[in-house]
Amino acid sequence: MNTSSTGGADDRALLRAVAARDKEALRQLYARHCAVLFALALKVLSDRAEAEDVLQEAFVQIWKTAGSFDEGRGKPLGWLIMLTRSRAIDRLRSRKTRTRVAESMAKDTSQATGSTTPADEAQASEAQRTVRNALKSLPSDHRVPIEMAYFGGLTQFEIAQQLSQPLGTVKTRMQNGMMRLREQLGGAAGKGEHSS
Amino acid sequence: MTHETFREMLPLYVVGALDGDELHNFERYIAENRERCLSELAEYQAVADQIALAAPSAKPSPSVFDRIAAAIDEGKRSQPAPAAASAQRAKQPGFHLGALIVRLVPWAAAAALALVLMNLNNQLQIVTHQLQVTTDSYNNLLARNKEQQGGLADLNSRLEAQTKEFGGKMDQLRAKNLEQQHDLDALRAANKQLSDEKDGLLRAADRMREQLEQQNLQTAALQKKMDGQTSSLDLFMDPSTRVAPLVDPKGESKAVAKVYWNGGRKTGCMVVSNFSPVQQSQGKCLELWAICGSEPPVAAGIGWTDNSGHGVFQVKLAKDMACIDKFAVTVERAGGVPAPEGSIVLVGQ
Repeated sequence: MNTSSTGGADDRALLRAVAARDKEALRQLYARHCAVLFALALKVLSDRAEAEDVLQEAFVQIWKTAGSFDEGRGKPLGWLIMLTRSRAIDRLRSRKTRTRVAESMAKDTSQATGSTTPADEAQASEAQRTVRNALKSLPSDHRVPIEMAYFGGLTQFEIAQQLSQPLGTVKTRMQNGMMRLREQLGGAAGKGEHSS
Repeated sequence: MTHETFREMLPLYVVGALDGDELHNFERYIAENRERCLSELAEYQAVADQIALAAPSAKPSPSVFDRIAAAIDEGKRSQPAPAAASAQRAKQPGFHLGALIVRLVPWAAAAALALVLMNLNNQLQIVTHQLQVTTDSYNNLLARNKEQQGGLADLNSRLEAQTKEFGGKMDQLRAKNLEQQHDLDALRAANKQLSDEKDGLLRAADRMREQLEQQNLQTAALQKKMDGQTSSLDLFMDPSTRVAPLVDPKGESKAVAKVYWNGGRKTGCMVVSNFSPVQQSQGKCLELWAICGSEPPVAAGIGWTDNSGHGVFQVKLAKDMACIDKFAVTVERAGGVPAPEGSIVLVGQ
């Protein structure tokens, strides 16, 4: 194992160290973000084993391609989320049960994704609570199509079909919902990085 | 695509809801307008990334990182050994490279062949797996594409039918509209004609009204004149009417007058001839006086003569008199006076 010189470094420094083949830096990066990334993969796939596979694939890819991360394009956590979500959605799309997952998401319009148990809420970071509250504050007909796209990997056309609503209505609601989220989370997006 | 459209599609793009041509056009627009789009894209992408934090909390098994580390190590092992290691081994003391090569050539060749075959087999398995995954994805995409094509064809056929139906209705409406436009034009023309006729009739009515008013005035004047003449005729025809000729007492002028007086009716008239014109516009009038003995003269009416010196005016006493011995005429201020102020210009019994 390589000797690490990255203790306590921020995400950007950790990624640079990973690009230099520092396995300890990868471990720190994993320890810092594995919970969020795994929760995302689990939300998409609803299967722990598959979510762990996705998490493993994502970090192997991070190990291989950390040098390609463009610091000017955004935060490291955003990049990690993009990698994990893309792999989870790809795996979801290869399933034949994908439609059922999306259907269950469409039917469960009464409860926001952010709805959690008290214990879960107690463990959640401030950033997680902020995002969950912002999502809860949206009307369900604005929130559900956003969640179907983000966690279900559905396109606007598929969402309109699942919800039996006109495509224009779905588009408008998603636009309005995202604008409201931007208003509520815009400040949070610029704050410090998440830690679990 | 306009930048406004870009902004409308941006919230859908960052949550992965765009596909097909829309996605292609959107990403092409970003590539062509990189500087303008990047900050807005980053802002919305940061919002979308945060949605991941809304997933219910969960932690992976402790063994996952070990699997990651193993996968990384496995990847390292599959890479060719660095040439530097071989070179270092070759420099160790007591090491006879030529003899070793001679002894180990068959074994090394066999081992190398085995390693190459194993490596090829592993790579073949990986490629086969990737091919299978790619094929599955491709099949899924094909199925989705077919499904969307079916939906698109259905939409197209419905759109064509609606377009045709709409076109037919539009043609009918246009024809009806044209017909109504013609009717409207005809009505407008008829209305204008009627309006012109009405204006003509109103003008004719105004002219007739003016003529009627003039005729009424003329009729009234004639009536008044006729009444006067009738009254005079009655007076002249009455046997009890007396006539008093008047002349210039000085005999200097040819002016003469006759007073027709009916004592029973207490009315009469005077006719003046050859008198110098005395007209109202001059502020003067001729005033007739009735005289009884030595009583003061009593005003008996005023009048005027025209440019030829002729005039006719009614005789009416200002008060009853016991007798009338003679009549006299003086020139006075217009409107007359209660007692004579001017000299007598005509007199007679």
